[in-house]
Amino acid sequence: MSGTVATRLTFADLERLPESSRRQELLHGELIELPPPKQKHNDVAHEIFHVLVEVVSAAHASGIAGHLGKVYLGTGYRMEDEGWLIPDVSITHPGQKLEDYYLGSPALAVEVISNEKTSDFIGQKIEEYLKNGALEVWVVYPSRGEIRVYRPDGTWRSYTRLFESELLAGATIDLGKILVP
Amino acid sequence: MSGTVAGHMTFADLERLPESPYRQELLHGELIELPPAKRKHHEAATRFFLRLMGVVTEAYARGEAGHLGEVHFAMGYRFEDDGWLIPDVSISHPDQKGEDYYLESPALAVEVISDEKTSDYINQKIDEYLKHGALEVWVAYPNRKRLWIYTPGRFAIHNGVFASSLLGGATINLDELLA
Repeated sequence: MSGTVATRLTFADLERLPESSRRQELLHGELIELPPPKQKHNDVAHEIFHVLVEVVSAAHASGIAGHLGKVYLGTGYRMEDEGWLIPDVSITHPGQKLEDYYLGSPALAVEVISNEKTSDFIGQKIEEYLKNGALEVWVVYPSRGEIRVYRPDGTWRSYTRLFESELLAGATIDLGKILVP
Repeated sequence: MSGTVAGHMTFADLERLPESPYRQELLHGELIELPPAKRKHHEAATRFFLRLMGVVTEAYARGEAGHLGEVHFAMGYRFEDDGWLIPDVSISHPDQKGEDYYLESPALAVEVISDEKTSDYINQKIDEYLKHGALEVWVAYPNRKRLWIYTPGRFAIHNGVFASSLLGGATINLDELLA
């Protein structure tokens, strides 16, 4: 993680900051800046995005994805208590509240792990997503071909190779194809 | 995390390495070296150790800690598949096997997070501990005074004061331990 700014910022402060090449997030008013993601990280996020678009579109067409909204790459979500989080990939809730920005957590937040994302930072993001309404949080470890799924009921599970997602109406995702080291 | 050394290393290789100021662990034969713990990290780990010592000693006196062994600070545990892990604090199983080294996971492994411990590294350790017999793994985040408790398939996030079921309902004050 690149670094944090000691003073507490409001979301309005964040909106007024000058443009930056860094990804800026707010966690309880603490500004967190990440360096631009490396291409390998981008490739993994793109692969996951494309798979989710395909799966969710098919599920919507079959009428079995009423609990899911739209799939996004790098969209931000505004949380209570001066929070602004940007999962690498996300699926909104259907009809999720939206002003200038989506409010609350998406239904699914996907975080692709890179060296800049410390254990502390990821732990905080998982906690915030689940507290603000996420149905699942996926933490992706490309180097190990693994996805960890955290749910608000306090369960977690680790998947490698084939991953059958209950959230995605039983769709099977081949991790070997999208998490090539 | 300081770095990893390429190439598979056996536990016997690890034993033959020269002394190092780095904390050396093995994860599936991969050597992982962590820089010396900083003072804040060391102090938090020490407070966990002292609290757990107190709790387990009292539980033994009441005859209520039959599922727990001894409390250790930075004790190493040897695993199959060339593994050697050193939780910051641990409680062994009663009569845990091991001659020169404890074998397999302790009953409780406590990891205090520092910047060097990446998410990838910590999650691999959690997996190893749980796969090899840990009853619980505690991951403590001093910056925000949180404790994640992992058991197979479940996790719980605590702050403030919580009662530990593993420790017979003993209370753990995270604001004090992670001050």
